[in-house]
Order: sequence, then C-alpha cells, then structure tokens
Amino acid sequence: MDLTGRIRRWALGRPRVLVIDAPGGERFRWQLEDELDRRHWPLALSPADTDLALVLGRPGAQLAAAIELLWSQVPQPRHRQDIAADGDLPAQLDAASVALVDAANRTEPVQPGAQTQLGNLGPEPDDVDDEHAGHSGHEGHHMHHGGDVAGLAMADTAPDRDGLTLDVLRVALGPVLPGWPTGLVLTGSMQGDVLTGVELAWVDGSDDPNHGVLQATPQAVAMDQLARILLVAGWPTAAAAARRARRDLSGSHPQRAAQTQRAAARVASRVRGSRALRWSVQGIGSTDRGMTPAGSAHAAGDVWGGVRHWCDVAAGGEPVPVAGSPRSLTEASILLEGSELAAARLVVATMDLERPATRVETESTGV
Amino acid sequence: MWGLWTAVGLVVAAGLGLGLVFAAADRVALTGAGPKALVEPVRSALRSLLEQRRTTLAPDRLLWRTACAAVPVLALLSMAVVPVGDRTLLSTSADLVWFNAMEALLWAAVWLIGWGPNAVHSLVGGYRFLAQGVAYELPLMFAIITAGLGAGSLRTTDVVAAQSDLWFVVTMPVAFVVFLGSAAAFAFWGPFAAPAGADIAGGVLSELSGVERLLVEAGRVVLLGASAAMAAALFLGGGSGPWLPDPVWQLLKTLLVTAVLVGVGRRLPVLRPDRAVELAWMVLVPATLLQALVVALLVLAGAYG
Repeated sequence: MDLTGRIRRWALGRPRVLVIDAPGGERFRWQLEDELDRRHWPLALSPADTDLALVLGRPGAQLAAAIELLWSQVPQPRHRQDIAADGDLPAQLDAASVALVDAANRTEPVQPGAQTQLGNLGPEPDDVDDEHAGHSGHEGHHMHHGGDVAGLAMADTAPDRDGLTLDVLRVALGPVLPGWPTGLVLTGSMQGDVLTGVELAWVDGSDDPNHGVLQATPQAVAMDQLARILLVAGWPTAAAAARRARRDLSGSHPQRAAQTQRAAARVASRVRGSRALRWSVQGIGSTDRGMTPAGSAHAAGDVWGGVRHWCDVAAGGEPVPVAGSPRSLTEASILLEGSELAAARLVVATMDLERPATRVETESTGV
Repeated sequence: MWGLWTAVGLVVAAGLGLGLVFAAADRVALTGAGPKALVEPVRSALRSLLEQRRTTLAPDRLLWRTACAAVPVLALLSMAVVPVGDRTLLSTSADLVWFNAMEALLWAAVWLIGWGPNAVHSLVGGYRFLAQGVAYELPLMFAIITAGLGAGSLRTTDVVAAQSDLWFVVTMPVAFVVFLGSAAAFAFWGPFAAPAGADIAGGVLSELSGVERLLVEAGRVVLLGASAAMAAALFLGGGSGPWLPDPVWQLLKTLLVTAVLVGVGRRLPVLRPDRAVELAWMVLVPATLLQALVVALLVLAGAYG
C-alpha cells in the first residue's frame, strides 16, 4: 500500500491544463476543451499554475521557441505533450495524466528553470521572449540610477497621457495567453497599465489566405468567440456555458437540433442581458473616441457592440460584419493605442482578426 | 497560558474551517460539478504542496515571500475579533477597528505580491489591487462603524448583545451589503477579482506556485469566511435564535451568508477595474454615509434602546 503514491495521484487527478493551439490546431482545440470540461480539468492562466501543457497542431520555429521559454517557467511536477489531432483524445489525456504523476514520483533535480532561460534572453528585449507572464517587462527598482539588474535594462521614465512622469516598461503580450489568439504578439510601451506605441504581429505567418480558417458553422465560431470574450472578461461560468453550447453546435445530432438551438439562444440572451457585463465593457475600444485619426472609415463599435454581434450570430442570427470591427493588424493597433491593458485584452478578444496561414509542413519544426 | 493557546488554536481552526467551507462552496458554484467539487479545495492544497516553488528573474524575494505569508496571517488575525461561541479571542474597546485594520494591511501585502516577482502582469495586478483597496476601504469602514454606532460600542460582543431585540440588518441593509461587497473586494474575489483577472494571466497570482500560491489562496478564502462570520455577528444577531444553542445559530447564519455571497458573486462577471473603483466612490461611499446618518438619527431617537 503506497499511501504517498496514492495521495500524489489523487492530488494530481485534476491537472490544470495550458492549451497551446498552434496553427492548424484551432479546430481541434474545441474538442480538447470539451474533453477537459467533461473531466473538470481547469484551464491554466499562466505558466505558474500549469501542470500539463498540451500542444495542438504544428508550431512554427518562433512559436516553438516561445513555447520552450514558457515551458521553462512551469514549476515541477509538470508534463508536456503534443496532442495528435487524429488520435484517440481521451486516451492521450489519460496518458498525459499518468506521465504527470510519474513526473511527480521522480525525485530528480529540477530542470534549468526560469532563471536560466530568461537570463539568457535578458539582454535582447526585442526577442519574442514574453509569451505569458510578462517577464520582459524589465521593471526595475524605483531608484533610477541607471545600469541594469540581472541583465535587464532598468525602466525609463517619460511623460504619460496625463503629463505625469511615470515609468515606461517595454512589454510584449503573447503569443500564448488565455483567451488570446495564439501566435499574436503585441509589443508596446506601458505606463501604469496604459499601452502606447502598440504594434501587432503574428509569429510564423505566411500569405496563404485559406489556411487557419475554421471548418465550422458561423454560429459555432461565434460561440467560440463568445467563450473567449467571456474568459477574458472574467465570467468563467458563462464561458463554460458558451463552450458547452459550442460543443453541441459543432456536433452532429440532427435529432437534437432544436434543443441545441434553444441552448445556444439561452447562452446568448444570458450574456446580452447581463447589465453588469454591459456596464463593464461598454464604451471601451470605441472607434469614436481615443486616438483614431479623424475621418476613419469605421463607425462607433465598442466591445459591447462586439459582444452583442457575437451573441446575435451565436443565437442563430445572420452573420453580418460588425461596423467598425477591424480585421487587419494595422487597424487593430491603431484602436489599441492609448488603451488600458484590460481594455486592450477585451478589444483583441472581440475582434475577428484575419488569421495568418500555417506554414508549409516541411518548414515547420515540431516541439 | 494553556487556556490562551487552546483559544488561539480554536480560532485558527475556526478560521481555516470557514475558509475551507467558503472555498468548497465557491468551487461548486464555479465548476457546476455538484457535491463532488466539495473536495476540490483539499485537492488543490495538496497539489500545491507537491509543487515546486517558483522564482523569477531578479525578484525582490524578501518582500515577495513575506507578503505571501502575510495574507493568511492577516486573515486569521481578523478572525481574532470574530465571535466564536459567544466569545472573541481578542476583546478590546476597538474590535471593529482591529478588523478593519487587518484588511487595510492587506493593501501592503497584496501590492507586494504584485510587485515582488518583477513581472508585468503581476505588477498590473498589484496596481489594480491598490486602487481597489483605497476605493473599498472607506465604504467598508463606514459599514462597520454603522454597526458600532447602533450598538454604541466598538466591541464585537457588545454589538451582538445590542441586537437582542432587533437584528441590525433590518435598519442597516446597505451597510450589510456593502460590508460583504467590500470583503469580496479585499479578497479580490468574484466581481472584484480584477487584480487576479484572466486578462492579466492571473495578475498578482500569475507568478505564484507551490506553497506561496497555497498561502495566498488560503488567505483569501479565510478572509471571506471570516467576513461571513463577522457579517452574521454584526448584522444578523450573532448566535441569537430559538431552540438551538448559540454557536449552532452562529454557524448556521455564517453558512447562509457564505452561500448567498458565493451564489451572487459567481453569477456576475468581473467588473473592469476602473468600473469597480467608480462603483465604490460614486455609489457606495455616499450610500454608506447616508446609512450612517439614518442610523445616527435612529440612535438619537432611542430606537436601539
């Protein structure tokens, strides 16, 4: 009777999972999330609360490097696994769970951790080195005596939008964040939590327009987008309901079609009808205010407008393009200029960005 | 001396027990997995104990680690003035101020948790908590003071005794609601969870693993559990009730408050940080001041005996 072994297995019985959907793995992410929900395995928000890292699809070279760095920040015990789209999903998750317990049973010394990996990247702040927890934010002490700390540059100061002199951090968000389009990287300066000099880019992109498009009904895609928005907006119970509705919508159960539609409409009306959510997200990301150049082609479209749009489509309405919703990264970065971090995350979650194509297979390097 | 240590042990156990109950209820509401989710907090705690402690590049280790340990300590210290079986561990002439002071000290602790690891998301979470702490400190203080005003004393046991005729929640509904809301804000939980929001990858929690994460998470739920017990004492008459012994009534009322708090809190989305702060300054501060004014007039009219 190995009691400690049993306790360990029980304690790790519901691992927190970080899902990394590389290009080509988006559609499969739905099935994986459904299976995780069924098992009550929670989704991780950062490397620190990750037990299992599951990689879908084929990451390109840059994304693979980012995953490598992210992985270096995950505390032991941990396990990383590539999930094959054509394999038996429950069996793969079972295997991952067993491997995690094995990792916990091993008492070998810890792998080179965050310190080493990040230290190597430190002097190159332009690297895509900040996939998750924001370490390249080089926040130093508040004594501005110049120089650097552990290879990191000290934060500069500069006037902010209110004319105060505040610390400026160089930050990079992405390419892997909860509720964030995997592969998108936002770089910019941050003062307090206000972003300026925003630039957006996809890692490992190419120009083929037909890749990365989800093979699913617009209704299911809208429900997925809604789940993403709700996760970022901090409404986990509604996000889980949206994922359940998405599962039913993307499944093929013609005999339950009416029931599925009713459930989808219920989720959409719950979200649309939430006054708290409305009050919380209304007015942000509006193209009317802020730094948008005059004469911009877009009408006012704030995050709440986007939420309503996705709700309409998710409830089975006609997919009409929402006014003012940017599709290109340039438009999006103009919209994000001068926004708070919370607002920027919501705006990105609401946008229906043109996703870049995956690379040709021979060029990609698996993890 | 032996008696004192027993009392301390009892209060710590009560605090941890209330925290566990809160965490279990929260997990049930969050996952929708039914009664099976009740054991999940225990599982998470064990998992945290198995987990390696993390570090980051160039952290302020001393302040970071100290702050993580401070959160549960402060939460348990606030339990010292919460009645457990009709008595409080600490009884001074300013129990209510003590309770409030422990929450105020949380500012420092949570801010340092955000600042310590030298990471962007964590730092933004710390900023959010500072703003939220400032905004909810005043409504919380006014809510607590209102109960003290009605009883004419800042001693918790006096406040409970003053409700023998009429529970304070009847004349102080606003203070009751604001007290619970502010407790949620200080534990950055439910609609006030922006400092640990998913949009900043877990914010102040984003760099915590292992025992540090366990300490902070435990501190949050103990604070919420202690606040539920305090709300029962300050506004729902404490242990008073027919047929059953006082401690049972106290426990039942605390469980009821916990259930309502979890049920309402998990039904709502997180309020965007600037909205949460706006709510405090524009709505809650005037509302609690008005509440205090009404209670003051009632005191003058002799309504509280």
